[in-house]
Amino acid sequence: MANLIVVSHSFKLAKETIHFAKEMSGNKELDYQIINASGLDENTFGTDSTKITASIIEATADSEAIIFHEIGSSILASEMAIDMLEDSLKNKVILAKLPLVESLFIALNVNNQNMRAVDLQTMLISEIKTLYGF
Amino acid sequence: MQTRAIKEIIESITTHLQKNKDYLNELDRAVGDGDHGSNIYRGFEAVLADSQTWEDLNLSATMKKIGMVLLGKVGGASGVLYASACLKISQGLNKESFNNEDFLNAMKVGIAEIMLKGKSKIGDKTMLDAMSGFTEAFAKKMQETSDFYEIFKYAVNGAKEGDEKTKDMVAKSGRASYLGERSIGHIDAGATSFCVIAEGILEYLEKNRG
Repeated sequence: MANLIVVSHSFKLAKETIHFAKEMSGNKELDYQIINASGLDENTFGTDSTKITASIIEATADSEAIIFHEIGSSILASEMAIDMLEDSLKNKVILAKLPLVESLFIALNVNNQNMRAVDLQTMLISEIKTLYGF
Repeated sequence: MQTRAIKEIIESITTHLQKNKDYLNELDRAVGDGDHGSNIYRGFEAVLADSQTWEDLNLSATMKKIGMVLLGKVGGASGVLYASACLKISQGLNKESFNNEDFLNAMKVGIAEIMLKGKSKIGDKTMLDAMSGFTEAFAKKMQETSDFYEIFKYAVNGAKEGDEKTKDMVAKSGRASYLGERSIGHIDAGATSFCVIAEGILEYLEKNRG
């Protein structure tokens, strides 16, 4: 079981990516909880580890979590956010390490909350390889 | 008393960053997105605002608070890296006195943590190059004198030399690394902002000598 967290430098980019992925998966009832932990605030680009940590705590309350991110400090800040968690939560969250738009789009189409985070990631890797013929 | 001194140091750092914000943005624009100065200044401005809540905190707790504010307010990789250094250093600050040796060790702990978190090393054209220049000079001057101001002043020159060296380096870390050889000829903004921070501290020390 996994919930989804989106970490972009831009809150609006993440918001629109989530909107896009929802629309493109038919706006069906989602199994996942999706949290937007992006930007310093709605208008300022940046990443905030404290906000990401809070989102992970929320997302892992009854589930695992997978973080969808883009480049640079969205990865570094997410890793730092995981570092700051209590040990019992650290192994409940992973970084997707995949392209943001494609992986979120596919994850929402999969829409299977019964998958563990690591299994969802494995599936996403496989689907993205197929998508681009790697 | 201690927290008041740290607050004044943060004030001095913030003033220096404010003066150099545009210059740091300009350096960053050559190889990155041009916001490094604004980011790091915003972070220290927030630390200064937070210093109102430091009453009665010991050195370790204060350092931890500084780290947490930088973590949330800078927004870029430099914020996460400085924050991780502050948080790691704070763990070793649980004693009353703090001598030159302790300061040197704290710098070394900070550098090691930034290398670990940033997955980079000295010579990669990052803040680490200025920090290592600072630390080497600090250790060298400690052999000659125990005057903290003199040692620190010498170390700031070491930081500047380290910063200057980044000009001829190929970026191996962060977004600048996408430029490869084309990053040569540009000074690293992160190394320069460390120098600005160090100069802010130096000015405080200068004013409060004796």
